Amino acid sequence: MVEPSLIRAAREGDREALITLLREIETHVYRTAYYLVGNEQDAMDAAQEALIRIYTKIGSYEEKAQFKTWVQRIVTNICIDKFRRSKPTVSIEEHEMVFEGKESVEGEVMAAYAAKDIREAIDRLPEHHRAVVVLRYLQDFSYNEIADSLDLPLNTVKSYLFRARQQLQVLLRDYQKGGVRG
Amino acid sequence: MNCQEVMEYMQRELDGDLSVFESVKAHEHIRQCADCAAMYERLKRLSAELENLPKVTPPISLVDAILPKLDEIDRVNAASADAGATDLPGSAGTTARTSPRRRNSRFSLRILSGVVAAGVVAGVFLVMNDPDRPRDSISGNFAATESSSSGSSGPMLMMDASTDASGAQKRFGAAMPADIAEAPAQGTGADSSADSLKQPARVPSGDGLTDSGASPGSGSGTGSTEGENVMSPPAVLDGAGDRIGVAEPGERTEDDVQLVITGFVDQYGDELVESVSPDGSYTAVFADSRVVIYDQDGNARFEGEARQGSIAAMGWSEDGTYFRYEIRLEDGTEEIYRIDPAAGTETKE
Repeated sequence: MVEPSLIRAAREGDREALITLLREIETHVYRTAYYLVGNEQDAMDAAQEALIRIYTKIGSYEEKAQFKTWVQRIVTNICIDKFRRSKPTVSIEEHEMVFEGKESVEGEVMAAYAAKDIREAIDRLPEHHRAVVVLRYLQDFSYNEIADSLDLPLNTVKSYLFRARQQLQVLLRDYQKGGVRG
Repeated sequence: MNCQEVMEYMQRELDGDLSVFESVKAHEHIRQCADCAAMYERLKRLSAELENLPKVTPPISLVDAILPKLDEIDRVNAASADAGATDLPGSAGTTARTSPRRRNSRFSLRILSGVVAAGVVAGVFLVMNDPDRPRDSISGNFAATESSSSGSSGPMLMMDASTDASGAQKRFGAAMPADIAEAPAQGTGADSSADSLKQPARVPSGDGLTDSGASPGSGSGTGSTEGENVMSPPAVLDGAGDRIGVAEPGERTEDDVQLVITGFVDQYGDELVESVSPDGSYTAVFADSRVVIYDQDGNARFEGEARQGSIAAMGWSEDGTYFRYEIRLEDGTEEIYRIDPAAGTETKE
């Protein structure tokens, strides 16, 4: 939780306060970016872009909105734009083949699979579903906070989250049935 | 309770959104329904795994990494606050460009710093997005601008910032070569700027644009200078006579592409040009050898391929659905590319 006084000082043009503020949020920004774009390099780029935008736009932040949702809105917007450019939708079939190949050949440790499978499954969600999941689980946001961040109605947030979990659950069950885990 | 209702209850329970009463009802059902019980287990496990996803942290400090950029932004912000200049009253095209985002964008800032640092005169231009705008109103605006700017030699500076005009004159007037500084004040905006242009041969003229099919008959065809058509100081030259900015008139063309060329070249040959679509929904910026299309919120919507050579022309179609630009290669040949921001495509013509 960022100190309100720090945010206020930053808004009023205190550069030191603004830099301190950015340091406090950079991990949160990066974490969202990482799970939205799916790799470290793009996440670094997106997070830096978001921090620069926060730096230049801090004056436009209004205190009636929560600071953390304002920040997450900026980073998710940047990441979703990146998706549109660099990540054309992959058909499920293609994706599945890649999965099987990797898993049988590399023979990775079982323990590593859980997180990796989940990450890959998250990657396959439509972008807004993925964003809802990331904000819910990586930022611990409430339905309302997610709705504010993504500019979506509350009911849409719920239905995205529920559908995303249902879809993830099906994907992960398929992996298990394939004898990969569990 | 049916299974579908229970599914929603289970989902909400994972988020701590279920009342005790609702929870009791859901569990009653789950105890009796094997399918729902299995689903409940899977969802709970999934949710636990999602909660345990690695809390990744950046490999290096991101703030440290961007500090140089932030410093640059500050430097240029200070300069632009100082150097703010008049905006054209009533000019929708220009006003649309002076949103806070534009002043803060690192491209504008970079250019500004380059210009100031190099001691190169920065005159900026008026982008005419509306070809139908009556000339008289523009001239009138110019006259008003001039007379309000303290009546001195009054170089007509239109920076991407709008603070005080006298500050701009102080800053830029001193560095400005006399012939350019005074030229705009000698006549109406259109004529004097045309005089002061003295465009070097490499400046894309109507001919170059005609090749592209985008601007048939402009320039030579109309028998008028670009300055006249644009009715504003469309270009300012630096000491070396390089083109800094050229604005192509808003003529109707065969395929209704209105070419507007604006921008700067600083002494390092580093270029930047930008153009706002007629409806204001996109801004195309040429920087670092590529075109990037931004939407109104400043989000990059499309990033073009890097190009060798210099930008010679750019412009939006009248309906704002696509953007074209012309690259002049070192050997003098030209390439024209077309970007459709909605489709996210860039094609060579």
